[in-house]
Amino acid sequence: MRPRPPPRDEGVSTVLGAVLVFGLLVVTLVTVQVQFVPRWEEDREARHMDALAAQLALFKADVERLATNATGGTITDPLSLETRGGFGFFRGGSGDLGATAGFEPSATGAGLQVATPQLRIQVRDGEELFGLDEDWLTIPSDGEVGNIERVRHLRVRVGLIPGTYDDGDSATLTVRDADGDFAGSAVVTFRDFPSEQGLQVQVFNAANQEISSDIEAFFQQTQVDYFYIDLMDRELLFRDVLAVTETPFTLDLSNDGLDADYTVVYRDTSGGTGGGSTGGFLVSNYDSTLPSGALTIASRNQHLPDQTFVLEHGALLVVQDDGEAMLSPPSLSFSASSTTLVVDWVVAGLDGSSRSLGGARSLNLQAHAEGDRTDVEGMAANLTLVIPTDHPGAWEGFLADALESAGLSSAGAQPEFAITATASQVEVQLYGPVSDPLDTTEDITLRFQQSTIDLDLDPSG
Amino acid sequence: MRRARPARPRSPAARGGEAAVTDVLGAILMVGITVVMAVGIGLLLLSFDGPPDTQHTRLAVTLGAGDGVWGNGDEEVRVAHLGGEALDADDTTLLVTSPSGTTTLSGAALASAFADGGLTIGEEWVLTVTAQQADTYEVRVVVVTNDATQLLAEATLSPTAAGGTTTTVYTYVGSATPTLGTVSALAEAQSAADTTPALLEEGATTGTPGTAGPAKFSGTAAATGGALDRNNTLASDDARATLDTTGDSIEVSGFDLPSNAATVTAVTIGYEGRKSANGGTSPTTRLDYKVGTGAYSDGTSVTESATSDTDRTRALSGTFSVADVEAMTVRVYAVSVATTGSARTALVDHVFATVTYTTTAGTVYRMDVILDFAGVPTSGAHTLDLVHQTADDTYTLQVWDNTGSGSWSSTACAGALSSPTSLSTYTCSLSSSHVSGAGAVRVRVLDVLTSGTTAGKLFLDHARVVTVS
Repeated sequence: MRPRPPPRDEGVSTVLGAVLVFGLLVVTLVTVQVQFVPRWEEDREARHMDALAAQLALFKADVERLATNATGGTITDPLSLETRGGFGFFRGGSGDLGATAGFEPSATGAGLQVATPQLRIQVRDGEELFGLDEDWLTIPSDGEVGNIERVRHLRVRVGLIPGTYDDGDSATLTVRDADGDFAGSAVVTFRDFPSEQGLQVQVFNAANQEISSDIEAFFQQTQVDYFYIDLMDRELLFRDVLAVTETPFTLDLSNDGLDADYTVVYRDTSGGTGGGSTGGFLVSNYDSTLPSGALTIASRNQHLPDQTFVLEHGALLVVQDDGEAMLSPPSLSFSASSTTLVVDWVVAGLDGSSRSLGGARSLNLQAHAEGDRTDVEGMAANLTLVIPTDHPGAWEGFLADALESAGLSSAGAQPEFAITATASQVEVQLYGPVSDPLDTTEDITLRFQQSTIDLDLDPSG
Repeated sequence: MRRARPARPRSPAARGGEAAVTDVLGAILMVGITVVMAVGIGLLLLSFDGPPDTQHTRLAVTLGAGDGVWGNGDEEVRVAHLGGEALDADDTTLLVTSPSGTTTLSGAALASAFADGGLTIGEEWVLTVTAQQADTYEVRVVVVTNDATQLLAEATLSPTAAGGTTTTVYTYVGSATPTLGTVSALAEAQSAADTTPALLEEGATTGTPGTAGPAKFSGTAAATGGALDRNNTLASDDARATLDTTGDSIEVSGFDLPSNAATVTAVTIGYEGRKSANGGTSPTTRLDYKVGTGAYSDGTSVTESATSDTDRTRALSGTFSVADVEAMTVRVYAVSVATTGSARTALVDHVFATVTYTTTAGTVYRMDVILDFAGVPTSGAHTLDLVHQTADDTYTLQVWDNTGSGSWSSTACAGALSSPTSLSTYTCSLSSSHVSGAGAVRVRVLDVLTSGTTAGKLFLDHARVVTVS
């Protein structure tokens, strides 16, 4: 019989150690999964939300640049729909849920609306239209127009009445800078020659040196009512004198024998339009409706609140179950003085086919300008803005805040603005500093650039 | 050389089973220690809370001007929730550092949008402060949880940076000091919210002898010496008398001067007229005059060639009294009117006498009122803004210029306040020399018609200095 080997116990501690080490490993992994991974997931979701907001804000800026530059090119911006990152072992389920993207155009005939009973369009597509409807004012002996930042239109007309004028009769327009110092002048002088007559225009600089002189002769028998002089004509160099004058400057008009009128349009220190003449092209019942849909990116989070980003009418909104906020406001600003409300609005209206996209890791937002573009500057007595939206609260809050910050009030029997919000739109009535709804004083300056942007969502991964 | 083998311990069996006690005890202890250590390490791991739970909230911290004007106590520090997790009031501390010190708010003291226990998306916490144009505010939002303390947002704000655009300050008239005239309901001029005006009314005073004119006076009676429609010459209204035959004349009299006219210094008689049509043979006219029943003093012949109404005048030499002028008759005489071919007749719209005269002293109504504006910002562009209406007079403005020892300037705010039918806005630009170092602006209102015999009125809906910076 073979002898029984003596019992050996070396393996006990090895196995036990291995079991215990394995146990520690499991405990460590469980600890990481339970304690660390949720925090990492939350951080990753937060980073993804921030990235989405940044990408959409960049896209908003790009399409607005597309609208204002009126370029024909196409822009493509990426959009990350997933929250991938880190080791897959430690990643929970949220990273794989991704986000869904969708675009819903505005209904046919509907969209962003700007309306007024009468808009005096002064600049359209870069062309100044001040000459179309001028108000002529007689040059007084002590006339003064002040607080001028930039002269936009300035013409003088001289009534030609046979036998009325003597040689040397003149009208003078003197420029004085912000300190009241002489900064230049333009002098229109009647010249009576033996065989013909003429009007001489001389321009003097701040040193009172003549820098241009032009004379237009006409026969004495010439039967015209007026002779017109555009002092903003480049060849006269008077606009050069104005360009180098310290602002705000003053125009001092006086006559010495000439039966002369003037019309002037200028931008004052408040940004509004002033002058004896408003000029421009009168459009009754102005109503501009821009197709403008909403791009929606809905992200389903496991740790952070679900967030839906909405890009509509140039504003980036974020919507959660517990409310909504305007993350990036539209390029719509208001500034007011005691006499003028200036409304600046650049808006890229998104248009295209209705789309809904899910499951992709990322997509490309492709956009290009299409159709007609509106670029107007004009004046109105009151203005109505209608903004179709499913998020009236955020829009109403933004608009009220912007208008009140400009110094306007919605209180009283004759408010300077009024906002009405329904479930599907926000309507803003702007009455301006002259707040009587029946008053026809054109106290609102509207600078409005809009363009329709065709949008396409293209899955890229 | 072989080493000697160490002696092997004898097996437990060989020792009768006692030797195993040590081995077993050792093994048990070893296992026990190992298990205890493993359990300890495991418990340590399991009890670890993991990394701090970071607050993921987007906040926007801003400083707003309230009604658009800085420094009037309605400025607002705002913390807006722009998405992410809600902020619990119990975990949140807000520190607002202003020039007057640091305010620390937490828990229930946060109030505003935190009043319901937290700040959620779309809500805005607001702290009303008084922020001057040059002030700087620092705002910190700190979240304190069991895990950690986290600085969630920090911003340094100033009105200029916060506004980003122009800032407008309205400074309404603070007081009015009349030297001539009266002021009532000045408070109505201290607000643009309504259309009820303050009243500045001229006061009675003794006028001084002065000069008036040259003023154009119409006659009140017309006689004809063959001219047609003689009464059309009593006003400049484009209704005309006709001299269609040589020798025709119109005689106009009744040039009444004002009751305070004392002496006459110059007289010019004239008519406004033209010929009946362009071209043809122009008529020749003459301007004559007589005083009382005396003989006419004939003027020189004038060829009436104008095709639109034109003044033909004759300056009279000699000395005239007020009574002479009022007894004067002016005659327009047709020296030559062709009757053949393309003859043209003379058309007379208006016969007049232009008189320069002195006035006697009497009761007149004058205005001299100083409007004081206090607390005007010393920087920025200043504009005087008067919404006004006038009655029975017009008014000019002077602005106090602080240059040197100071003086009233009548050029800074040129033009006149003249709006007899409705409220109108008058604005003029003020320069920095019109605003004192203490922020005072003084504007003087003077009447234009210094010899007015009725009390003129100036209604001020509001009077203010608008400062844009």
